[in-house]
Order: sequence, then structure tokens, then C-alpha cells
Amino acid sequence: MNNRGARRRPLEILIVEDNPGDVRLVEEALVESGFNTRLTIVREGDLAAEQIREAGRSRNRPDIILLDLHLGDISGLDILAETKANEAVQAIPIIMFSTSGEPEDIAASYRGHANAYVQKPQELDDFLQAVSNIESFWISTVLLPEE
Amino acid sequence: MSERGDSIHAGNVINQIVNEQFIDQIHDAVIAYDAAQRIIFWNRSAEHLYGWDRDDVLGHSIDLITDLDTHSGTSGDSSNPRAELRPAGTPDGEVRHRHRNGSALVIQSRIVPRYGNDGKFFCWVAINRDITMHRALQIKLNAHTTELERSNAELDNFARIASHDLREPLRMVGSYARLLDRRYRGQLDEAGGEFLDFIIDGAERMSTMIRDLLAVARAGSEPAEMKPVTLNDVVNDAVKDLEVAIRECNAEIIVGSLPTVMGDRTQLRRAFQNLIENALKFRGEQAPQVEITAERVTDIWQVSLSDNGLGISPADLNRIFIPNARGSQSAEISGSGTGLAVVRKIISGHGGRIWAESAEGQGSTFHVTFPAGEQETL
Repeated sequence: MNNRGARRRPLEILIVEDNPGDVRLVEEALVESGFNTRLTIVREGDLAAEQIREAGRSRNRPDIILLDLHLGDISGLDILAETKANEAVQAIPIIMFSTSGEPEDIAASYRGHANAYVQKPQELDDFLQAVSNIESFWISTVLLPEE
Repeated sequence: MSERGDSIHAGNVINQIVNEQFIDQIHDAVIAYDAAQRIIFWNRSAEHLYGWDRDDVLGHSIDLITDLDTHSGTSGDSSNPRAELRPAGTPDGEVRHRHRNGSALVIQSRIVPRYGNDGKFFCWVAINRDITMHRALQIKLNAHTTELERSNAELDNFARIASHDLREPLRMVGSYARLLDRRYRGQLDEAGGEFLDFIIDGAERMSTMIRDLLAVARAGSEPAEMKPVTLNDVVNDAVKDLEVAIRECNAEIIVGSLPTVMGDRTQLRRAFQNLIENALKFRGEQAPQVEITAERVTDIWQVSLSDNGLGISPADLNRIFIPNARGSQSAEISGSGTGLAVVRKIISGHGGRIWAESAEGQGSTFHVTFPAGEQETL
């Protein structure tokens, strides 16, 4: 295995997700897969947007953002658009994570420069696997920008 | 009054040419007028239609009834405001005429010239049919159709939103029941384990149902690209898609000569795929044989797909096209029971109909219709 992607410090993941059940499932998936990660969870869209803006100013940025498409207050697409338009944070990979498999939602996400679109699987095992795949891909497979 | 005298004379002549009593039996108004637009013949139906007696109108200008028609009707020729003056051989025109009481009439009018024995133009003969009621009904029908389409679209939209929104909490139920199963099964007693199994099973079944409802709601609601499509190509595609399943059950698919219809190739491919798949699924003891043929019935194409499968009981014949309402045969057969609902939706989106004929144990035939060629205006 090429080890270049291996990291000493944990992967910082910002999870923007309004459903506590899904947050917990992601946490469980990470426990089961045993990856070295640190999660920050934001339940509300406007708080998430503010947090990302703040991250851009403080240079204390998450490594990746897992962004739900349908948040209660604002659309994940709005947060996506704002983040990708902000030079300080636009390099952070954003993975859209949504129940929706609607072609329009997928297309809109990629048009908004999402780095990936993952549909939340209906089945537990598939869900855990999907989260594990996301972690594994962004931790071991890809190279992320140096901060 | 010599002019009027000439007309009446002309009227006598026409009476010799055509049999007046016979013409009076016709339901259409038959009116003849000369080159100067003077009415020279007026049958009984014309009296009923326009409210004028024959004696009232003979010698008068045809303007008496046509003054409304300054701009011709829906299918009229706008380059010729007076439809009555159209050259012979032009197709029937729709014009507006006036009844004696002033009300407007929608008239389907055919006008032919009459020539005398000397070969010279003699008069115009108009054969006019009252389609006022017909048009009014058509407008009503169109309004109903529009309303129906709107409410169908609304229903689809509702089904789509509902199934999306339902999926979310259901995923929670299913996922956490599974997680409970995985981590805490050992701490539950026998009854507890049983209860948990019921939760998991129920969530799974509901999940399948919602997915299928969503599939039906979506079928046909995607923008249909209507282009000429050769159904033989569509069926070949569908057969290719099902290659593995066909080989596995040793099925034989016989395809006759099928027409080209206006349609969305992707949707139609799905429809035929579901129909063939249905025939394979509900096969009998012997290897499935599916025959697809087409025949033209007046202005529609009827494509028929017959199989030698289990057949459908009369009670199920009407239920099989309803989403999730599977026939009584299907308990042991895999599948969700929405395949035919999707087919029906696609076919009605193409202006066609679908129905099935069958006797249990003797195979089934599914008939699908498509409008043939250009649709005639009424």
C-alpha cells in the first residue's frame, strides 16, 4: 500500500446534518470502521454556514465536510454554493450526503462543485459501509491539500 | 323583381336535377346559391337548422346566414374570409353561421359547384351540418381532460413527496432495529427477539413498497420525448435487457412485424421489458413462449403480447395494473407488483390503453394500443 496518504493526526470531519438519528449512525459507522477521525457536528444550516465562514478566517479548517442536502432551515445547496464561492474554504472537499436519489438533486450538487454525492442507503449495513467507504477514500486514497 | 324571377327559375332547374323529396330527407342542410350569392334552393333540414322557411329565403343573399363568418371558423382558410367562396375540392370547413333568432351556429360546411349541361358554372351547393352542440361538448370535454391531467400530476407529485418524506423516518426505524439486533440480541429473551424480528420485517416490507410507489409515480412523469419509434427496435432492446432471464428459463420470444409509433423510446423499452418480464415470471410448467404481434384496428395500432404462462383469474384481471396489488398467484413469486402499473402509466402517457385477457391455466394476452398516424380532428 502506498502510505503517502496515511496521516498522523485524525481526519477532521464537519458533519452538517439535522437528523440526530443519522448523526448517530455516522458515529456508529466510524466506531465500527475504526478510522482515526474527529467529528464536529452541526445540526442547523445557518450555524453550519457561519462555522464554515469562521473556519475560513481562523485557518482551523475541517479536512472534509459531509453535508446533508435537505436541512430544516436552509438547503445544503446554499451552504455548498457559499462555501465554494469563498476562497478561504473552497478547497475543502464537500461530500453531499442525502436520502434523495433524484437526478435533479445530484445534478444540482455537482453543478455547485460538490466533490461527491452519496445517497444515504436505506439498509443499515449499506449505510455503515457507505460511511466507511467515504472515510477510507478521503483518508487513505486521496491526497488532501496541506494547510 | 326580374332578378328574383331568374333565381326562382334557376331553382326550378335545380329541382329537376336533384330529387327534392330525397334531399328533404337528409339530415344535413342543403343550400344552393348562384354566382350572385342568391339562394336558389333550401331543403327542409336547412329550415330546421336556420329557422327560415324556404319561401322566406329564396332569392335572398346567402349573407342572411353567413354574416357572422367574416373571419372563418377554427379550421377555415383565413386567406378566404368567405368560406362559401372556396374553390371546389377544398376540404370541409368549419364556419360560423347565424340562426334566424340571431344565435350563432357552428357549421361544418362542404361546398361543391354544380355545372349545367352546357358545362358552364351553374350554382354552388352547400351541404351544412350543425356541430354547435358537438363543439360545445368538445370544449367541455377538453376542460375535463385538462382538469384530470392536472389532478393526476398532483397525485404523482404527492406520491413522490410522500414517499420521500416517509423513507426518512422509516430508514431510522429499520436501521436502529438492525443495530439493536446486532448489538443487543443477546440481552433479549425469546419474545423480545421475536418482537424485534417483526419490526425489522415490517420496516423492510414498507421500504420496498415505498420504493415501488416512487417508481410508479416517476414512470411517465419524466418528460416524454415523442419521436417516431419503431416498436421492433424497442422490443429488441427489451429482449436484450432480459437476455439472462430469457436464457435461464429457456424462453422463446417470437416477434412479428411491429409498427412505428410516436413515443419515447426509453419509456417504451421499459414498458415492453416489464411486459416480457411479467410473462417470464408467471410462467407455467413448460418453457415460456411469448409472442408479440401487431394489427391495425381503424385508427389505432393494437400490439398484443401472448404467453403460455399461468394465466390470470378473472378477479385479478382488473387488479394487476394497480400498484402493489398483486394477483393471487404472486405470493410465491418475487417482484414488487408495480411492473404492470408502470406499463399502464407509460402507455396512457402515449395516448394508448392496456388490458389483459386470460383464462387461468391458459396463458394471458396483454393488449396495448397506440394512436396510428396523425390524429384526425373531429
